[in-house]
Amino acid sequence: MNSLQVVGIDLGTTYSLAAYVENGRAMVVRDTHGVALIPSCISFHEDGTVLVGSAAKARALLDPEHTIFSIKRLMGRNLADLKKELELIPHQIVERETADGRKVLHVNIAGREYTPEELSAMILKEVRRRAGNPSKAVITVPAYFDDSQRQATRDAGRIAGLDVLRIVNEPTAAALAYGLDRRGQGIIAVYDLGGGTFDCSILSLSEGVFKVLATHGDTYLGGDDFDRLLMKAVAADMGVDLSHKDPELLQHLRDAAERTKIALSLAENAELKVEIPTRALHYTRTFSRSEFEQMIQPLIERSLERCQSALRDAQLTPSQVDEVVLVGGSTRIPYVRRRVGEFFGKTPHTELNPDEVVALGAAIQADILTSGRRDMLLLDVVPLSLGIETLGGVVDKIIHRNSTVPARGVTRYTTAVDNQTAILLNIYQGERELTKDCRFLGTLKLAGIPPMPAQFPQVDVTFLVNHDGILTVTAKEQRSGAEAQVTIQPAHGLTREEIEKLVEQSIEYAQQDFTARRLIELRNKAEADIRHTHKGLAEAGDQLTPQQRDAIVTAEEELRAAIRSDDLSALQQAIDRFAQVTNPLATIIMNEVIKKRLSGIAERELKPENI
Amino acid sequence: MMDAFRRLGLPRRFTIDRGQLEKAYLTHSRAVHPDYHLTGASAELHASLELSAEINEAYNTLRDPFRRAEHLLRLEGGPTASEQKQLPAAFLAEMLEAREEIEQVRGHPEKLEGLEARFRQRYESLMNDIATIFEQLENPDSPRRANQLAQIRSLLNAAQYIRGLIRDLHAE
Repeated sequence: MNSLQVVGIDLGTTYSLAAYVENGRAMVVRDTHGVALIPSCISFHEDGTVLVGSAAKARALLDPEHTIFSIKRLMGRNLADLKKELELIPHQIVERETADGRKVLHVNIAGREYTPEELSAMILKEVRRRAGNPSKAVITVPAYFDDSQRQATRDAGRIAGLDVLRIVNEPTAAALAYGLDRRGQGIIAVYDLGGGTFDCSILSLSEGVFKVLATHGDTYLGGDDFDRLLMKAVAADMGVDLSHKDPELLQHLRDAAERTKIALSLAENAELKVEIPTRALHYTRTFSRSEFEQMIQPLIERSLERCQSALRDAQLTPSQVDEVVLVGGSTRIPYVRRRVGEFFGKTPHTELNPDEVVALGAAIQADILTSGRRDMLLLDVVPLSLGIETLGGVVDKIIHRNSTVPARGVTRYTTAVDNQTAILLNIYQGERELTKDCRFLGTLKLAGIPPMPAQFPQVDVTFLVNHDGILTVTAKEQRSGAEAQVTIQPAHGLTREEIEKLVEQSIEYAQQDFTARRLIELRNKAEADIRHTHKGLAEAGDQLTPQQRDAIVTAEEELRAAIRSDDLSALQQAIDRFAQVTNPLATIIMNEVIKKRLSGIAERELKPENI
Repeated sequence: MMDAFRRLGLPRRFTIDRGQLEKAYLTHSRAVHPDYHLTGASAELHASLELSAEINEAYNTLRDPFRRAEHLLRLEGGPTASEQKQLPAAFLAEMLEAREEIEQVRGHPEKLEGLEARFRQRYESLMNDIATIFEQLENPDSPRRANQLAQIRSLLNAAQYIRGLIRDLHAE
């Protein structure tokens, strides 16, 4: 385990952990005491030390103002999204608008402001450290995370010094972990109730291919909410108003509520005790299991409604589901197990530890990405539709939810006035008709349109959601063939430069000289790209036009010059440019790959090992 | 325009075998999916993204009978049913009747299921009629061909209308 290169990380609301694959088996990273779960909790101390994990969690009661948790709930969000959350967050959350109009959340803690990305990066660094500092990782997110939440997670990984190979959906990862010893086929439902989020995904499994048919969820539903119900009941009982920020009381209440909730999974009755001697506060109340079940019942109903929606999208009924998998610590609650079992009409799987199953799946995915094995493939979907604002604040959907990724959608735009050379478009994500009900992702600027009379240009805008569920946009003016320049001004989050800066600032990397390391990485990449291209040219160069071949020669010279220089951004640009001109060649070769794989196997069974 | 049939290596015809479509889709996905090309050159990853997106698009087009028929009409040189919205002459009466039936089940959820099943049956039978005409489609130089294509378009529009009715049943 000391030389782990790549791990799978479950970055959870309440706990985080890592797993890896060794000799074909997925294993969880444990400390010397055998503990795998690292509380997603950070404490800040007066002398400048920052603790992460159980040490930080232990501080939560003693020093609540300098302890923070549930950061995942803040990822990729803005203040307006968090309205109903704020009352129970003991810290001051502020929103800063940057010069370019992005709204960036900051948490004010210990006299400094941190973005959620930086805080999550601290947790990831701790997870990484315990796994022996691997350089690459697959990180999981709730299936229902939107584009900004995925971006924020990716950025957190980057700030933690990780090369994030892939963002994988938690329920899909869980299915992958369970699918290991099952080579069959069938329909799997994953019910994932974590600390802060809920997802239901319906997958089909066939010959090692896991295809997500539909996913539904709620990014504001989880075990934390059960704690809050208990907290609210107790607060009402004590006659205190929780909206008056009282970090000490909140923290004690939260801690007691969580204990009571966990105890009620094993016993019929449990005591909720709040003791704050300095305030002469001694409070005790007994909750029965059925009382607790009544409290959470509406939330469980809500989760089952999402399951129903997911099934409807997959055009299936509960009885057509062959296997039900439970994920997330909250599925330990007997009431949850019972209700889910009743809904699908079968006993859910609980063989794997619900806290570890996501990390195990992420580790398997990391292994698939790096080891060259091809026995399994994940086909995931876009959880929420993506579209562009049109007249009257209506969202024109370009890519519909539950489309398999990579997914592409094209739409055509034209100009309104003569000689207009740029178009601005607003991008939204969500299912509702109107922009005000969807999430604003950012503004898309199409520039470099050749001057023409109004209504004459035909700009085809292509949305591509990649395998991580993250959007990229390209555009081309059809009459002139000119590639339009596309810049997306995101509405939230950090820019590439800001992230690079944070990476450089992190002490660990300052010592290793970040720029030098990055230069080496990029030079290696550039040289590999040139090698691959030469090989490709030998195979299929004759299928290119002379112009395409010339473009490659020119771009290669530029790339070689950039390799010799020390200019990081020039090198990155040259790599991008080279990738662009070698794309036709890569496409031809990829098509040859398909042909080769298909020929000769038509008469044989199409078994994974033949492909 | 992409030919979805060619993209998945399937014969260009309306009637397709679902099992064969699934297999072709999985085989192609396995060959080009970005997860298997992450460690390659930048252009390779890019090409795999584009091709995977095309394969997904082709699969979605062929999986749905309505979209498959529209795609075939487009490959034939058009127009498609969405571009030319005429309906079969006798369908108007059927539409009115169906609307009336929906009014009648309103407030009677127990009757909803039966009506939905009937609409689905009707949809299937329209699709079967479409399949038959596609099978009997004459050569491009035949004078009957234009008429056949027009028939397909109007049946498709009728099927689309029924599909809308089923959606409305759930929207209540």
